[in-house]
Formats: sequence, C-alpha cells, structure tokens
Amino acid sequence: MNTTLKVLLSLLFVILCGSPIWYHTMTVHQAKLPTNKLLNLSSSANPKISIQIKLLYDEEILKTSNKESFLSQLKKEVKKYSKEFQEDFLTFQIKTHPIKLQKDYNNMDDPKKITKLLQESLSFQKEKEKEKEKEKEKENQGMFEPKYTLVLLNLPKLSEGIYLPPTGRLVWINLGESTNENKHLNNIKNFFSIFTCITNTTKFTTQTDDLHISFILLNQDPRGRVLNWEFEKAFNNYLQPTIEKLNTRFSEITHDSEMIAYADLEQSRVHKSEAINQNNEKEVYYSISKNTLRRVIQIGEWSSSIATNKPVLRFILFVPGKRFTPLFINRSSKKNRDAFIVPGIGGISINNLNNSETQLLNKNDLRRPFLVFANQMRLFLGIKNLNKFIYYDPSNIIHDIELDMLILNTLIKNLNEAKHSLLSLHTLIKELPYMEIPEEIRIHIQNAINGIQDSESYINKKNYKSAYFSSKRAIDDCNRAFFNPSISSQLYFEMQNRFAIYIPIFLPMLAPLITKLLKQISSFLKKKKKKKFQF
Amino acid sequence: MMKKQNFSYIFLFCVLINLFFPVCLSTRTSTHNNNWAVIVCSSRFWFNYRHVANALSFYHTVKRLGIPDSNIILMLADDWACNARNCFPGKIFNNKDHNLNLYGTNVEIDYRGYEVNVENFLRLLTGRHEPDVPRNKRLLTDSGSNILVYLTGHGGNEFLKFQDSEEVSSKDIADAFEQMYQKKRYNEILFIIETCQANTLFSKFYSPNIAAIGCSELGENSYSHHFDSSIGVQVIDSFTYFSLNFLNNIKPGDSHTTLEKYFNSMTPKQIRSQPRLEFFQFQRNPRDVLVSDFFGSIHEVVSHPINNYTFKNDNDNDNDNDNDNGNANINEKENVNNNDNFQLKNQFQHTEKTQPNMEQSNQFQPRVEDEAIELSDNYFRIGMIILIFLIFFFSIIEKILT
Repeated sequence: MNTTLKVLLSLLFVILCGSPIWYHTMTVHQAKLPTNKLLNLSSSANPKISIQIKLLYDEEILKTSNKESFLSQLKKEVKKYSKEFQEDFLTFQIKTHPIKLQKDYNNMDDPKKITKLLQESLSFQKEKEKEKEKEKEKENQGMFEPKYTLVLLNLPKLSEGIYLPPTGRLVWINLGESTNENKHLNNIKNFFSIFTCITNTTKFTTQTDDLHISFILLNQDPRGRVLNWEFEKAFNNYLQPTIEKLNTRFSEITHDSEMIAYADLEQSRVHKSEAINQNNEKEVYYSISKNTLRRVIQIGEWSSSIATNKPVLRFILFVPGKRFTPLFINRSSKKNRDAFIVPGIGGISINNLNNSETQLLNKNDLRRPFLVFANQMRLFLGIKNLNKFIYYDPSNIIHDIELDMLILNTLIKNLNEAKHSLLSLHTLIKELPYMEIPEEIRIHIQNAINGIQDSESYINKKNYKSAYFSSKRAIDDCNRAFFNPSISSQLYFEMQNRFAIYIPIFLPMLAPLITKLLKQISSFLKKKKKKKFQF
Repeated sequence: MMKKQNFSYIFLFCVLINLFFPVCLSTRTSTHNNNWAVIVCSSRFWFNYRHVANALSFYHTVKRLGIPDSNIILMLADDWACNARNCFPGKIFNNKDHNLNLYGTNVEIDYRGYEVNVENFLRLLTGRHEPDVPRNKRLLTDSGSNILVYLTGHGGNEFLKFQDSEEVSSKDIADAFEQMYQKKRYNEILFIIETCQANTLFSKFYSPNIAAIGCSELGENSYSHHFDSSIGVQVIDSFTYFSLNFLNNIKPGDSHTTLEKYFNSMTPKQIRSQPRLEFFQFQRNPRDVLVSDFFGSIHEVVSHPINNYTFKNDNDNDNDNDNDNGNANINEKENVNNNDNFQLKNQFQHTEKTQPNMEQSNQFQPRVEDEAIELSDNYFRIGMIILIFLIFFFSIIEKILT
C-alpha cells in the first residue's frame, strides 16, 4: 500500500479514536445553574414588613389640657416616632381612632384584670366566638400577624407607664392623672422602642438560630460533698414553657445536663474581704474583680461532653468550694454580683451554699439560678432588656411582641444572607470554569431560590410564620451548596494541565506519523520539481 | 511680627476646633469573642526537623496563653518523634539544651502524615469537608473568631511546599480567606509564615481584617538558628527562636503588648532576613492590635444583675428568704432587687431599679478600654486648654515687651 496512504490512514485513525477519548475524559460535567434567576434575586430588594398599630383612646377619659390640640399633635408625633424607630425592612402603619370604653377603669388597680377587660371589650366589637377560636388555633401553631393595639388610659390608681401583657398583642399605656401632653407623648414614644428590642451585639451566634443548651453543675471542690441537682424538675418547671414557645415559633432548641467536678480557680486572684451582715456580725466573703474574671475562671476548659452539630450554649451553675464560700463578683461600684455571661460560650451563675452539708439542690434551690439563666438566654437570643418605662408580667420570660420582632428580624437577615451567599457562590463558580458542578449543587441552588421566592411571597401574603421557615430552608440550602465538598479548585485542571496530561500519550503516537507525513510531502514536492526540470 | 501673630491665631483656631471634636484614639469595633489557631508544618523528612519544632513551639505558646485544644488545629506532615533517626525517641526539642520536650503527652495532632496536604488545608479554611470528617478536624469559627494561622516549611515566590510534592499558591490562600470572609467565618486573621521568600505568600490577599507577618522578602532565605549535634540537625529557625524569646515573656491575660511591639522585637540582623508586617483593610487602628488578640484566649465577660422575672405556677412560699443578692445575707447598701426600691403599686414589675446597666449588658467592648479612651481624650483636652492659655499669656507678654 502506498506509504502516504498508510500514514494518512494511521493519522486519521489516531485522530478519530483519540479525539472522542480526549473529549469525554476532559469534559467536566457542569449542571446548568439558574444563573439569571439567581442574579435577579440577589439584586432584588426585600419586601417590607408592615407593622400595623391601632392607637385607641376614649375621648371622655383622656386627660389633657386641650384635647383637640393633643389629638392633632398625637397624629403628627406618632408619624415621627414611626420613622424614628423603623428599621430598613419594617414600616409602621398607624391608625388612631376613638373608642368608647364601656367599663369604668378608674377604680381598677389590677393590670391583669384591666388587660382582660380590654381584650374582651375590644374583641367583642368585631369578632365572634368562632373567629376567636380560629385565631387561638393559629397562635398555637405559631402563626402570627404583627398587628398591635395600643390603648391610652388614665388610671389614677396605677403608675404611669406602658403595660405589656404576657400574651397577646394588646398594649396599654397608663397616662395617669397628669394632663401634661409632652409626658403623654413621651410615654407613647417609649412604646415604639419595643420594636427595636433585637440586637446582634449580645447574640450567641449569628450562624444559626438552632441551639443546643448544655446545663452544667460545676462543683469546684467535691471533697466531702458530692452534689446532685433536680435538674429535670427545675427545667420543666422554669424553662420548659419558654423553650417550647421558641421551638414552636422560632428555632429548634435542644438541651442536656451534666455535672462536672474540680473546676480550678486561680487562687491568687480571689480576694478575701469582710463585711457586716444584717445581724451586725462580721462575715468573711470572697470576691473576684470583673477585670480578673476572664482569667480566674477557666471557661475554655469547662466544655460539656455533648457532641452535636449545633452551637452549644452553656449555662453553668458554679458552686464554689467551702474554702471560697461565699464568692461574689465585685463591680467598681462595690455592688456584688453573682452572674455573668461570656459571649460565645454561655452564662455562669455562682451559687453559694450556706449549708456545707447540702448534697442535693432541689427545685426550689434551683429557682434563682434558673431565673438567671432565663435572663441570660434572652441576651443570647439577641433580645435587649426592656425599656425602663415598661411594666411587664414577670412570669413571662419572652413576650409575644419581642418574639415577633425576633422572628421578623431573623427572617430578613436570613433572606439577605441567602441572597448574598448565592451571589458569592455564583462568583466563585465563574472563577473556576473547569470545575465540575454536580447535580447536587444545582438542586440546592434551585431549592434556595425557591425558598427565597416562597418567603417573599409569604411576606406579601402576611404569613410570616411560613415566610420565616421558608427563609430558614433557603439559607440551609445555600449553605449546603456553598460548602459542597466538590467545590475545590485543587480538584480540577485548567486547559494547559489538560494538554500536559495528554501530550505524553498522543505525542509519541503522532510524532512518527507526522514526521513520516512531512517526509512524504517533501519527497512528493521534490519529484514534482524534477518532472518540471525534465520538461 | 504680624506674620507670627497670624500664625499663632491660625494655630489657636485649629486647636479650638480639635477641642470640640472628641479625639478617637482607637476605633475598635470588633465583635471578637473567641480565638482559634491553625498551626501547620508542611515539610516531611528528617532533615526538616526544625519545622516541626517551629510548629510545636507556637502550639505550646498559644496553649500556654489560653487557647484550648478544642480551638487549635495542628497539622504535622511527618512523625519526627518516632523517626528511626531520632536518638531521643518520642521527644522533640527546639533547643540544643533540651530544656523542653515539645512532644509530651499533651499534644493533640489533628492532621498527621499524608493528611497534611494542600487539599485538606484549603478544605479546612473554606469549611468544605466531606460529611464524615470529625469535628476536631474542622475549623468551627464564626463571625467573632480571631484566627492565628501559622505556616512553616519550604517555600518560594508565592508558594508553599506541602510534603515535597505539591504546592499551595498565594492566590489559593487569598481565595480561601475571601471565602471565609464571605461566609463571616472570621473576625480577624493573623497570618504568620515562616519559609523562604515568605512575604510573597501574602502578596495576593484582598480580604479585610487580615494582618500578615512574614520572615523573608522575595529572593531571601529563611535561616535556621542553631544546630544540635546530639540530634544531628538544625532544631529551630531564627524567626521562631526570636519570636519565642519575646512571647515567653507575655503572661496570660496580658492586655498591653501590641503586635507591632512583637514584630519590632525581631530585627533583620538577628534573623538574617527582612521580616514584614502588613495589615489588609484592618478595621481597627493597627497600633491597637494586641498579641493576646490572637495568641491568647481572653474571654470578654459581662456581669449583670437579673431582671425581676419570676416563674409561673411557682409553689414557693411568697415569703421565702431567698436574698436576691446571694445567700450570704451580706448587708449591702445598694440592694439591687429589693422590692422597697420599686415605685410599684401592683403586681407588675417595673424595670427601673432592676434594669441592668444597659450599656454594660449590651456592649462587649472591654470596659477598661472604653475608660482608657475617655481618659486619654480628657488628658488631650486638658493639654489643649493649657496650651491655649500659654499662647495667650505669652502673646500678652510679647505685646507688653514691645
């Protein structure tokens, strides 16, 4: 067979077989991502959440120097406050109108009764029993609407201020017997401060809202005294209702308990002092200053043994040994405290046992420490302490309005984070054009986009519970996509690497074929020249 | 004369303006509340003994200053302690005097041997692990975490060698840090690199709040400090040696030693190469960055009184003797939760007297620092007032004399 033909056929054979092999082995599977939707969503603004407030007043009861001017000023001021206190995503819709309070509240001095009467009289104006029951069902399932009713009252027997009932969204302000309009307006202004009760400063973690709480009984010196505690009873009695409320409406909070012994204190930092007690006797006590606190108690070593994927919030009940009892934390103003929080770790309450023979901390003994933990839990959830002009029912650790604001703030934060994550992921994928994008990532991104869209549509429909949980799912999918193990530049080869891999395979095959072909071409050309000369 | 007077009035005007504006000596706005350390020795083979000594020296330093093992990721690429050539089996020293065994029973190595590779290192930083990777091998940081990243080994122009077979480039590390920034997985990072041409490894950083220290410039080598004839190899590098000289004088809880001071303690003459300290879009004033912000583990604490919450369905006796200030019955003048202080006429609890100090409970800035800033501002203002007075006084004297 003609050599040239052989060479050509061999070359063709190598190319025909080699090209598909090269193509199939070098092609990276990249799932088609919904890029346009992703980009549109990332650049879109979040829908605004509107808080509706009905400001009600009984003109006959209202005590002011000039009712008409007060009412007109009230309408203007309320608009001002709503702008002052509104967040980026919250808008206030306030309506003021007069009502007629049928009962005589002047002689009442029980805030709970007043709240109940107000709730009954206001609801009877519009709703029937069935609708009331429906609303209660919704509440039990965690659904809510940020609609609040603010009633202005003038009650001589109660202190002036804002009264925040434990449940429900009815708030009333006692303007007292004063006719000072500026005072009244100030009280109303303080009401709006409730809507700014959420802060990230004290929040335990911004990564997730699901937490695991570890309750630790820390016995500094168990020699001669092995302590135990009735944790289950105390928890079920004191904290369970609040945590259940949070689990229904906000996040998944699990808990466990543990007992640890032999926690060290840096003895050089503990000061011994004397004070005179109520019986005019000298008593010795021990204190640690706040500045040395961070080193005195080795928080890093006091980890619980729980293994969980959720962030662990520790509440430690520290029982100092007999040698350092009673132990307090001194502040610069010489007030003694026995509790502190460590951001990112948890809260500590010092429990001094007077009776050195105590071996069991029963439910009653644990009441105060659990109160401390409840307070600390509020701070770690990001709920500020209430404004000093607000009266609240102390049996309710987290009020409905605070929980509403927590959910709404978290909802918007989730949406923002999800959009930002998607955009970052898109930028990252663009920078790695040879990276494999498995179907898994595409599914997670699609789910995240759906979650964000669902959340926004629920917000427009004012179904904030569903909006919140959709946003949670969206951010979860975003994180699964972003942290997918296949996204690693080290796993994929750029174009020059691809050639570098295949050159050692194809070059030895192609080199002799190509050189032979070139030889054939040059010999053919030579022959042609000879023929010309012959002619 | 006129010109001098004009100048003094202009100067006075500037001073007056400064008096009315607070002087901000520090712009600390971080939410730092925990520390992590990633310590990597990327070399293998017996003759790179000094690299593991470097890594373990920093490991022990951060442990001594307070970072617990749960917050330290230690990556050692080879096992020198049990190497057949080690005439001190199970021991590693960083000094020819053999004062301290770095490889005691208290060393937790998270990645060892061939697990120390570029892929695992980048997966550690970016958080992209396979689902079966245990927690102790993950960098579980958050937006409040300060991270110390210390790398030692062989390197070159914008790369660091891993296991003598692969490299990680400066761009890879920069991209990893950016991804950490995108997902808010750090507050601040201190990146320390001890290799040849180390400073080139952070030339590509573009994420904010990163401080980087390298021990040698482009074209320079990083040198060992001394040779141990009993072991037969160099036992420590110069940069680490002089770092330890400085860091060993820092006590846990130190709140004065700045990073600049640490960096300035090592001169080019000592380490025989040109070190560099660089800050990338650092939010805080770089001069305020403390060594303990990264090397130690000082937790901010916030003490607070409790609000007047009680519990529902409390079957306790209303007259229980539980003193809210503690069980010691100490007669304190300011009894925080004493009901007599309330203006209440009813069961609802007023928060006025029991409200914790709003500033204190809502801020995690150390109170000491805030007070120090305020004090400095006051000193500055007093100084300015004295200066103005002196200017007036001398100008009057000048007029009288002329």
